[in-house]
Amino acid sequence: MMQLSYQQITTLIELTIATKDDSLGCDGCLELMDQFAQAELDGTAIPNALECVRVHIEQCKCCKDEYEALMIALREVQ
Amino acid sequence: MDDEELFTLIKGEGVSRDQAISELRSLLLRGLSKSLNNRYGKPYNAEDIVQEALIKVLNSLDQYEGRSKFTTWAMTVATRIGISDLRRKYHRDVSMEPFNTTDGYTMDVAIIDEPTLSNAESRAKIFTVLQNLIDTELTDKQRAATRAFLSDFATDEIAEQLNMNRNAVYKLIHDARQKLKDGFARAGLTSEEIFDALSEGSK
Repeated sequence: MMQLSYQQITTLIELTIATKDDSLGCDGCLELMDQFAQAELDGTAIPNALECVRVHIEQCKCCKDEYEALMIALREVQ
Repeated sequence: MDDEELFTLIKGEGVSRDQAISELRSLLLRGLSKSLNNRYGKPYNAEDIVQEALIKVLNSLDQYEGRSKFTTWAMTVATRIGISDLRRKYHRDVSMEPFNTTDGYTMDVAIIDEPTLSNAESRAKIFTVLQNLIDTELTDKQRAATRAFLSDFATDEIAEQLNMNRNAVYKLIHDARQKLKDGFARAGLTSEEIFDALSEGSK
């Protein structure tokens, strides 16, 4: 049996409580990520059709990590 | 060279195309060097991956639909390749315990390093409910993916270990979280109550 640390338990509980419906998934997020990043770079309002990306990124550590790295890279070359 | 011109030249032929590709390569290298070096607390040489990223971009040009700037799209493709490479290298030496099948992917939520004793009774109740939900509501694969996720494995690494794709692993973990959330609600535990108990624990 894997013993969870206090930090891991609280992380799991916090993520559980924050869980929202997410029909997009990682594949959908990756397809739309460039448009979402472009809107943020341009400082324009995020279109309703891309709000699902925000919801996914809030819940998926992997996509959030990727998105953060992307924004750093884009700001570097702007 | 502006964004549109860069894309047009890369789609074309000859010396201009070579120059445009060289410019794109420099751009990707500068971006990836900034975003990936020391990202996980370790140095990373983006030179190692930029060529693979560039080839992927060039081979995927027909997928660029102009919904963002070309360089934004190209950097998105390159970042995906770079960060996957980084994760593979970063997690090379970590414990594979979360994927050990001999314990049925069980998880023990007993408190072993609770920071304070404040409000311990409320937390103990929450942890007991959580343990019961993990044991009775989650499938083996959901437990395996969840405990790997809690051990800081990235979704695509979990996918590799469980022989699934990243999207399926994300859905597995998301559905597990939803089951736990529903279970907390059935147990009469509100989000506020749970947050209060956890925040008390850190005082």
